[in-house]
Amino acid sequence: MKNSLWKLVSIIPVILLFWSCDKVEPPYQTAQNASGSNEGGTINLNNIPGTISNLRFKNFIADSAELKANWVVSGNAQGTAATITFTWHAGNAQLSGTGPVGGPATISGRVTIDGGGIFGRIIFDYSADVIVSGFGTGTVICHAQPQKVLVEDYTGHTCGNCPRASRAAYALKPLYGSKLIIIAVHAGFFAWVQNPNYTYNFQTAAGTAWDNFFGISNAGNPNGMVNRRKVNGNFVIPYTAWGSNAQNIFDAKGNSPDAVIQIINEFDNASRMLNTEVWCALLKDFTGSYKMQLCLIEDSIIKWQKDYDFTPEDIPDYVHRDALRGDINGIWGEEIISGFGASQTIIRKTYSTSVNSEFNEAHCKVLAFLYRDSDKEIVQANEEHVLE
Amino acid sequence: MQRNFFLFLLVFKIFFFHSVRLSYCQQGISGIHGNFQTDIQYYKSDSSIGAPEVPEKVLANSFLNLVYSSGNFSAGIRYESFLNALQGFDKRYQGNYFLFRYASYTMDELEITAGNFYDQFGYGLIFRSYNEWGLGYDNAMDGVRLRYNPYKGIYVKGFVARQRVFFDYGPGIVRGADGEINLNETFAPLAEKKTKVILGGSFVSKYQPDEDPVLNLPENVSAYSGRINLARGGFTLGSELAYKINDPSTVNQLIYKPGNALFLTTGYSRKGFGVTLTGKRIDNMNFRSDRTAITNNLSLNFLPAISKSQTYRLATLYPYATQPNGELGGQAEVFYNFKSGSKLGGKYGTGISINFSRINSIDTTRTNDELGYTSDFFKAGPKIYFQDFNVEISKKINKNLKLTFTYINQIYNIDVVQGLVGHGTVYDNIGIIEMDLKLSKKHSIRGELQGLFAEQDKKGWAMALVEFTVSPHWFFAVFDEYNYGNDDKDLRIHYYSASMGYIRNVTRISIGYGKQREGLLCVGGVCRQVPASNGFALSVTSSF
Repeated sequence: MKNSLWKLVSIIPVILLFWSCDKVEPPYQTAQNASGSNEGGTINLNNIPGTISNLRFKNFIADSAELKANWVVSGNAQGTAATITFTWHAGNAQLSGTGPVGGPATISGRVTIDGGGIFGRIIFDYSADVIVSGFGTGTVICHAQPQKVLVEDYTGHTCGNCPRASRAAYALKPLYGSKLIIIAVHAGFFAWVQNPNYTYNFQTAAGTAWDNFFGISNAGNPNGMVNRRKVNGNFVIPYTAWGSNAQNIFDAKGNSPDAVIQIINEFDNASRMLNTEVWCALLKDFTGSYKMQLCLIEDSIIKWQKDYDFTPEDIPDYVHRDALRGDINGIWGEEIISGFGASQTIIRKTYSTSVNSEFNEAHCKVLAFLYRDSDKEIVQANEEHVLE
Repeated sequence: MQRNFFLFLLVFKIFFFHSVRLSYCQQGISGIHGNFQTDIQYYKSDSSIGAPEVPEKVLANSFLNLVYSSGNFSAGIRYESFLNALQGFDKRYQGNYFLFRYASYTMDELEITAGNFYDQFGYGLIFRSYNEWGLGYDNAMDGVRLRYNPYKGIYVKGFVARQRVFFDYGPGIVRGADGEINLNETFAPLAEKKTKVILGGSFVSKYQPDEDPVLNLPENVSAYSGRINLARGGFTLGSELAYKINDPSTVNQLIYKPGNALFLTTGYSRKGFGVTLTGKRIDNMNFRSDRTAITNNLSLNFLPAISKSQTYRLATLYPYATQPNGELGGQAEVFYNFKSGSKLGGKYGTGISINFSRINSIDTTRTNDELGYTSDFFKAGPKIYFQDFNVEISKKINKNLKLTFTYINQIYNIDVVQGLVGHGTVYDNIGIIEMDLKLSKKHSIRGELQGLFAEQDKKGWAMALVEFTVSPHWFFAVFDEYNYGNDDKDLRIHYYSASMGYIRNVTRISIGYGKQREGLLCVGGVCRQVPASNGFALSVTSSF
């Protein structure tokens, strides 16, 4: 080899190496334009009187269809009476109301219409003053449920580094909205009860079982999982990679998930019984064993927490976010697809559980996720407040 | 930065333009050679010591290295087998693979390697790739490496590669260059000087895409270092200073503070006497080819440990693990040989060695922003991570008997070193007596008595060992470790063990049976958790 030529050529990589340097200057965070959730949809009443609020969609596909309404007003010496009938797809619902003699009848109440099959259900609160009978047509636009991602943050109240992981996880919320579901699983050494301050027991049978199976706390805390998907052969994902792993799943699935999950909760305050109806619609053929897991989550629990980012480190009134309170249908859920599940199949399951009197039901949610039993990877997840 | 870069380039080019073509023909051994090791263990569950049930019953780690050399060419391959990995090794080591392979050719001053390689720049503060089989540590590089010796005393090398993690590769691409000049070799007027000087500089850069949806993460993270080594007579001085740009990662909790490290070592030795002083300061120098990697995975650099490397069993109960986020420490060691015939030396001479090391946290002031903290370079933090004082006296009593007396005093912060909470700091004293007795020309016996005295953690331990050697091939050993001081009486357990081995030329076969306590196995400040176990162990090593 010509010595001169080699010397000349060899300088080039040295120059290139010195140029390969990316010191980042502030700001260290990207501007977050919350895309928000395109979940749910809209209802335009158009020529139907009244107003709607508290609109919720329990649908399975993107859809645009008519909402028909027919209202009948009658009067007598006692006053005015009216009934409105809403029709959407194959379902309908009625509300009635009354008013003074000669005056408008006020119709007010919750409307729940089951469109049937793959269309699911729409729920809204309706109010109108009607004086003469009539009919009208509105529009219901349902958006498809997007792919949702579950981030499991394995933590403990004596883990001083863990609040930082929680803050990092919730920093992703403005970006993903309800597409990102975060739960805190208190398990392992740092979740143990420790005198004198850390005496509250956040641990659950399900959380401990999952922690042992996936080896999360064994790898140290904080750590966690993103849709229980293995990365480089490992379930354990450090919190610094939760965002990028979630983004990878959104990039792959986006608005085309393989399944859709809808949750309908009914809570009886007196008995503290929670009845939950879960619908799971398959948007493609499924082969193998798939399980549905239901859990109870409680947000905003005020208890002690160690946080190394603060002085003093022991914080008595720390707000614990979205803590796992327990399983509803077993530690590993229930098999709902055994061998094969055809596309467009809707699987409906109902569960009942008693909500501990210590839990604040106003802060409680039901989390449901569908996962493949062979590798435990989550296909789709959803959560719904206990008090809808 | 730009002016310094051009100045460096000018100096570097001067060396090239004034180089003389050297013949650099490597005379290798032709043929195939290599080495082999297998470690097989049979496990029995034992609830008394916390040894878990192992479903496979038998686990095995094995490797075979094969190297072919012919003239200037060499090629190698390594077969690794984990069926399944021994307890304490990461479970991702599973299966059989030919993962390590390379081909290398040397022509004139240039050596080219394609495939896997290990290497180190300076003391390793910004780059060291190596394999430590006993730790399950292997951060081999896979790419292209060039080594060039353009002139007497000048050595440059560079590479572009990815890094191994288990049986796959990390996501980062790593580039590195190192240059070293031995002034006494390069400049003829200095050749005969008593003072020898070696200067070196290194640069490493790793690329990893930023996929974080919230943070602006640097995609090309670079680290630089400069070093100087001096030697004059029995006196040596070595030093290296390293700097790393902002590198938010899981290990440093995503802070944007740059990192730096300083390593200094100096020593003097002559026949019968030696003294070594070592100092180290590390500030945010975790450097990996994957910013989310943790434990021992995908480390690009090696931060030297400056605590004494212990070999006595109870002295390894509390081994120190280097803290890449920050530590400041020093070590001093003196050894002296009292001559035979002197008053203190006796008939056969007496050796004394004193070693002291202390490692503290660095001083930090939290800034509550993305930089994390500020740190005064010369100030130590309040936490003692580790302190170790050793005195060892070895004396040959007669031509057959040698005694060694060792005293060790340790301070060990379990919470920091082992990443736990609530275990506090252990203050312990260890006394050791070792005896080597030659029974005959071929038979010798070695015994050890050790005692560890502490009021924290598992408290007191005692250990006794007897080893009988039938030279040149056989050895037999029995030992017992007893946790006599444990507060829980049920955990005052004897960890007994027996082993025997056969050595012939380069082949060593050993088999043992017994209970092993859980602990940490550390090599050079890098550690692996070893769980408690009970059962048989077989180890075979050989080379050819």
